[in-house]
Amino acid sequence: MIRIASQYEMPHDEPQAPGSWWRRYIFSTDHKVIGIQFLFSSLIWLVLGGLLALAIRWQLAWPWSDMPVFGPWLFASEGGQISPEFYNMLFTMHGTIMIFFVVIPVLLGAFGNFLIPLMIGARDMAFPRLNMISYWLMWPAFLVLLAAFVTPGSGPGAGWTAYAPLAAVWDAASGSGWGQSLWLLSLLIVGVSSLLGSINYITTILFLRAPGLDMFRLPMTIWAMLVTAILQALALPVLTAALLMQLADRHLGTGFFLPGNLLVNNELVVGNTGQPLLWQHLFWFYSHPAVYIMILPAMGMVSDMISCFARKPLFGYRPMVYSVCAIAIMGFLVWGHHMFVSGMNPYLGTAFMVSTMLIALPSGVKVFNWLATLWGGRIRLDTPMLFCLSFVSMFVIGGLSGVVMAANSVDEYVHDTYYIVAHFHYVLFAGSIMAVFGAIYFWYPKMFGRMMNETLGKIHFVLTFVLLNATFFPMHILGWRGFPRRYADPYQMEQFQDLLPLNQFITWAAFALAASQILFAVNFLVSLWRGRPAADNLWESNTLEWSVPSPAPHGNFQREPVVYRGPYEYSQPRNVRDFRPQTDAGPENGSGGAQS
Amino acid sequence: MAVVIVSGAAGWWGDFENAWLPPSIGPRTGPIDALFDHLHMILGVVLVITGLTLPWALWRYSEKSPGPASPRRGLVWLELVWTAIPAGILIWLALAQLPLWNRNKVDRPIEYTVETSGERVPRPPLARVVARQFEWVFVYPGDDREFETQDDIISPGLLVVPQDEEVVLQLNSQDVIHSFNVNLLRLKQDVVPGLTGYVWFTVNRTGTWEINCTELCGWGHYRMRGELQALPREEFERWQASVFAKMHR
Repeated sequence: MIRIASQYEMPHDEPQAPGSWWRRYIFSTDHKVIGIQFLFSSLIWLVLGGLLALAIRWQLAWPWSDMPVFGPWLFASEGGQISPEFYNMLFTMHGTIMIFFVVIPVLLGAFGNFLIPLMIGARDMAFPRLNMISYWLMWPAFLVLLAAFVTPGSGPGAGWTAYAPLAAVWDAASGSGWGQSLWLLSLLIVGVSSLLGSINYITTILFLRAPGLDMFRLPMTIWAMLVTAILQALALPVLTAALLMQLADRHLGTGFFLPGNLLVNNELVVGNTGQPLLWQHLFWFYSHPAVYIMILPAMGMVSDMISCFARKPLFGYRPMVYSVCAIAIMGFLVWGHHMFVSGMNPYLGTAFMVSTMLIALPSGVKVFNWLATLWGGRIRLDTPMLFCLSFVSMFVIGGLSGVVMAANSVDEYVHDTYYIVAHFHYVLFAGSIMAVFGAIYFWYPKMFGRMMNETLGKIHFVLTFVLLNATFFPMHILGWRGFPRRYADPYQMEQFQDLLPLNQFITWAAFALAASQILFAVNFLVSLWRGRPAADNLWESNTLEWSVPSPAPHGNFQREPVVYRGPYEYSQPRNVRDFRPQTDAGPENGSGGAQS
Repeated sequence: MAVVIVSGAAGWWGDFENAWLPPSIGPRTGPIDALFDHLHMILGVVLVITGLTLPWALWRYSEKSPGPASPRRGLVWLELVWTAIPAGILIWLALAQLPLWNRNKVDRPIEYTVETSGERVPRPPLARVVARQFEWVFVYPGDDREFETQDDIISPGLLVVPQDEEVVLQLNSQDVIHSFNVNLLRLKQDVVPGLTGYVWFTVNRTGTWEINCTELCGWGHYRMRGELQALPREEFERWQASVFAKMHR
């Protein structure tokens, strides 16, 4: 193995924080500061994405009625109601923000950045400046996206999937003007940011591990981050190319995605020989792996937390690693399941159905291993663990409905209905976001040196768990009835009119779900100053980040840590305590065990 | 648990007509609904098993239970079992549904007319569906069985088909992607500009039902509504003649 041995030897790398306030907190190259910046930013963006979701729910529950609070100043000209154009923009922006500005940045940007060097015993990332650039590219991207909100006409309204020709032809939709171009530009910038991060993570994990930290002694979090970064590095160029091609179609007169002779908005678009389905293939070739980019890091962090709180080694560590890799590889072979009824060759539908059925397997293996980890443990139900357990149980629901949709003959019916919406909210909200909450409660002490309030945390958990089910489970029922997504007013169709009260129920639940997050926000912010000071290894965990003080100091480790064992040595026989840190040098199976 | 409670609450509040699949108007739905039900049953069993295991383990292996935690790191045979059994089930599920997809999406029925010269000429589809923002237009080829001729019959918004006959429709779009959806037939196919798609189905009762668009196509996506009507053969032909007469008045 090639190792850059010099990270602890170079004189200028003395662990001394840079002097000025700007260099320390704003334009910092310290991975921990960047991680925390990503965390704060994505939580802010989460609030915006959540408000957009509430506006969508408002329209579905009380269509065309005046929206409270925001209505009067948003739509003064139309008398406080949401217009269909605005509705299309709402779900487009909700999806875009939640995926590209919340889930991916919070998992990879916040926790990837914060945890990778700490968990592998490195001083910092391999490329600290690249890391800083990666964060500071997110703000231009976000500002460009915000600008898309206020472009003449309306913001982008072609969905986060931006299917051509709707998104590619200037006049095809109300939001297909400048809004769509800015949307494309924003995603291009986000893509560059993610790519820089990926390269950094891969290099850091491969080359900056502490002595003794073999690949098969890495915590699952790091394995997941590594595989995710590789996924992203391989898939993102395809999205970038596709975004550039759509920009070219819109501004440079190319016709990659435009077939000959379109009559759009009473204007002829002629002379092209392109193919609308090409966009879908390119888009989903990125966006399906992106689904795993949005869940694998969560799975990794949950694995580590479950093992720690069950006081038991992670069951089947190697099968877990292999299944992460299998998910990543197979993730590149299933994109066509988004396109079963797209008009692509139906034989492809068969191939993608089979591959999609099979990708359920490694995910299933992971669930079984989590359950087996709990089996025979001594389970501590602290707040982070509660969120992890709900991640596992909710991921089962989201995963199983995935198998239903993989059946292409059934997908023909549920495609583009609320069944799909229910499915991916179970995976992304009840899955990824719940894991993120767990991870915040878990690593907050290492970030800020203080604890979050445990009682408030548990109340937050119970409310979120119940209300998210009340919000998203009934969406399955809507889906069983064939209730379509992306309809500004579904009740125009007679067959859906009886579903109005159910939609009102969902909306009430969604409002309550959003309101209960105030508890979290208060707990998070107040604990920054008022929280109980945290011990260095308060959860009695084994991984390297718990061997440094809380909060982790600049430069992380005083001396280069040496790793003697894997991350999951909980409750091993003949140990004094029920955990054994990776840096514990005692003899293998020795009688001494961990002494601090 | 939470799921049971919230679905109960939602069901009580929601007061909707039915929570499962909507009624059927043709034989096409039978096997799809059966697959849908079976998948939900099989996966429901998995959900119940995991849903009971987890709380049970939390209770049985709580922090307060006596003795230390098990030090076990894994069990090879167990990994093999829970890989092999789900793999078997998933592969079986995949293979078992292949014929259904072929019937619904691959093997388009083509009927031939034998000319006086003995030549077999494929019959055209019953109608062409032309989708545009935000309406459905249905074009019938008329007596000469060719599209884009003088005797085409054009019916905006209303698709009439003969009852109890397998009909084939050709799908074309003028502008952006739309999707031709009839929930009561579990039928959905995107209508892509530049491509020609086909759907085929049989309606086995008379009546009028909704067609909706299920691919985002612009601001008016939600109101892109059409109607599907099935009539006995003679009435269907009378309807065609009356539309033709109206067009050429």
